[in-house]
Amino acid sequence: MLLPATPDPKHLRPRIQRIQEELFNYREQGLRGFATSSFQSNSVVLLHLIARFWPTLPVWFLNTGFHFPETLSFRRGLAVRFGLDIRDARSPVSRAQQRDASGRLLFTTDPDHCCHLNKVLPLDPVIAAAQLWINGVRASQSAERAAMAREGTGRGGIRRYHPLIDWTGAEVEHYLNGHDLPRHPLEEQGYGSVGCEPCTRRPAGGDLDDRSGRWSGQNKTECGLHVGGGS
Amino acid sequence: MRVLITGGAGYLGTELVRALARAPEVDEVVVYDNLSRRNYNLMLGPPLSEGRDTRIRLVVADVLDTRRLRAALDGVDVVIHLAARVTTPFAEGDFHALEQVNHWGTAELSYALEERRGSVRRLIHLSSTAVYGQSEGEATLDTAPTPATAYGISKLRGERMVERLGSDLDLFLVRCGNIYGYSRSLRFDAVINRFLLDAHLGRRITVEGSGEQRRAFVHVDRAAAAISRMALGELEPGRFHLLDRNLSVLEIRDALLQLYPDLESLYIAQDLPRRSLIVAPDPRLAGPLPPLAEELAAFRTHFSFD
Repeated sequence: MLLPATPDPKHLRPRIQRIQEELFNYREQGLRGFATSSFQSNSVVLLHLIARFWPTLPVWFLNTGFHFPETLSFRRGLAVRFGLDIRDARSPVSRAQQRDASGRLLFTTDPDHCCHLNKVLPLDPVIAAAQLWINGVRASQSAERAAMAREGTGRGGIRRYHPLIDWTGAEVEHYLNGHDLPRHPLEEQGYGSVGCEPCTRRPAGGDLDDRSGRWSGQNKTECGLHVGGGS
Repeated sequence: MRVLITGGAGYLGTELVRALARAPEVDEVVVYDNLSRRNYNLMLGPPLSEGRDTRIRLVVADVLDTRRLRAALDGVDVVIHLAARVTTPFAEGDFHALEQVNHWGTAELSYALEERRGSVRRLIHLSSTAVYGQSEGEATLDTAPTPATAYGISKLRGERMVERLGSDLDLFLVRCGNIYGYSRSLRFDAVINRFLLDAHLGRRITVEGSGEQRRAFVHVDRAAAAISRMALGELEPGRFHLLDRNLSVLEIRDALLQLYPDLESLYIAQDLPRRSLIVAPDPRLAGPLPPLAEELAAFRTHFSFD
């Protein structure tokens, strides 16, 4: 287990204590669990908590093939630093088969289908083989996420656990600063939420709650991974 | 040693296959190419390597074909990534088409290599001097890239995708100038080749802009020889400039005038300022350099009639 070098920020301690207990209970029940992470600054809190309280938990990274190289390097650096079991989920559909009728990659004409092939589909076998899915969605990030509870049910009836659902962007900042944790390298260039390169724009003055750079200019706000299934 | 060359059936690829198939330490050259330019000349004509052509194997597939790419990397020690969409120095193409191959195609290769960490020990990635955009002075390896074209941007993004693999393997990041010179897979959309063809056929070339714009150029044989040295481990990994010299369009015309004294030049939009790019040649790749006119005269002998 990776022990924090510094104590948790005081006002966050009760919540961290609760997460520790909840994770302990899931483990006690013998649930086959996994986490997903998009390896942004936001994600570092959950990854750090997993390293502290459930270090053997598999963490799946949806390697869509369209990430910024900075994200891919950040993922590798965190895997080493936190000693986590990070695995890549990739689309079963070859990139060459992900082109539209005019030969263009799907993100140029049908981003929903692109997300389906590269984010939703690759996780299906992982979900099918597990009983608990832990992820770091927060209510303050979007209307869809605000409607989620701490526990819910996801696709295929899997149990979902959202330990950070009630955390604000400022609290994430406190945790990151309190433990001197690394930030996604694009943050200093003004990026807030970082997803796939083709569908991420640099918002003006983004913070950790700001997802306006994701699918910017589109009505789309979620990839489909966290919606559907009654969560 | 088994070497895989993406885009290996292309212009530079053909000469590189020739060079590597002759090297005694190379057991197999895997040519991975989707033949998108419908150039089949690699497979036609006299043998490339004096009896060693049996060591050449062609895989017809796209660099975006995740499954075939991964399978083709089985047992491969060295990868040379040439597959790319290219524009001529004076034209812009479809931005997405450039991105799709030069950025995301390179990304696919980087994932496949990452997955096989430790098996492929050397990667030679062909980038372009176009990543520098234009220059006031001479662009050196320390100059920050500021691409000015969609092609240059896509090549820079490709570089960034492989740079992150630098701790996994020996990475040669090669910024290459515009290629010219005879090859059986040559392209006539490369400016010097185009000019020679036009001069030979009609004694007339067309110059866009003032003709004073400069670019970096490298002869295909010297480019193939340099990359072959990298593949065979004769050079230390790192970032390279692969070019012989910087030439203006008017200097190319002057060399042609030595071969074709009656050559005419037509100018289009000669008041239009065109950007220049001057790139520092790499001392690690320096060697004897014949005058351009001499090289063009050698090229001219490949035309079957005057």
